[in-house]
Amino acid sequence: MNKFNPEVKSVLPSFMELIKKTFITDEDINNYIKDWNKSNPEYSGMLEAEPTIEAEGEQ
Amino acid sequence: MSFSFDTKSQRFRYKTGIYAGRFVSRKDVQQIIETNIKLISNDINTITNLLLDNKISVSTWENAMAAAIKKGHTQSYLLGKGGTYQFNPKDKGILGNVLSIEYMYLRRFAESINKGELTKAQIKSRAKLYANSFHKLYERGVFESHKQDGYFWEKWMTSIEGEICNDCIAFSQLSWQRIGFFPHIGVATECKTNCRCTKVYSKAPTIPQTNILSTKNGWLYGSFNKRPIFN
Repeated sequence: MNKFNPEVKSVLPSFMELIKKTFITDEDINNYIKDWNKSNPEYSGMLEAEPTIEAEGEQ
Repeated sequence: MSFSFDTKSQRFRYKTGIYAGRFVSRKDVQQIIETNIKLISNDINTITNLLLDNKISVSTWENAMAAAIKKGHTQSYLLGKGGTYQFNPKDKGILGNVLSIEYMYLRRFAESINKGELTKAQIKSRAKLYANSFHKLYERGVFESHKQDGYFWEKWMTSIEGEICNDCIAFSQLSWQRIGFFPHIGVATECKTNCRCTKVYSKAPTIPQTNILSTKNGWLYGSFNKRPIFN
């Protein structure tokens, strides 16, 4: 079996650089929501669902 | 269409449209996850093909893969958790931890490609596994949401659609256990990311009673016939 050899050998950035990307910012979340709404039009707005407010006095 | 999340039942409801007030069925939510897996799987496939055609470097491929994984994981977790209103700083920590482990595997993968240790077919099939793991994150979100809402009990439910391994069957036979007793879905079982099992939760003060006639494990349901292990 032929192994794949990349033509250009690249130097991978330090692992710390990669780990820093695991931090989730509010901007990331907004972008993911926009992306979700675009790719799932039938279920757009699902990730921004507000909590259900129960009617007062209902037992 | 807009949705609301009912924290009492831990389920989504339609807020507008002809289904206003109704719950979004669990089956539909599962379907959404599978659709998202396919969408991001296509992205991952495209990125990997570019690498295999020598159009991008391993470093660029790793960056693009990391971004796709982060997007898929966050969206799946948010869906399990009930949306951004339920998403708190603790969830960011949980998601960050899961991502660091995934990135560690990704780095090992990138290093193996850089050293020319893998064939094209191996690279393609291994890259595909990342998208398959989004179900695991959805289930993790569901688990955290229930736990934070004060649920006491959990029960492992095997899936008829997905792969069922011996571990999943064994866990499902343990019935109700205190929340946190079972490992997270898709983590410590033989079927790993192919697992499509779910958990159900209860707030009952004492151990919930299982009626064999009303469970999917009962002979009346006939699900045993569909499992390859019993054929």
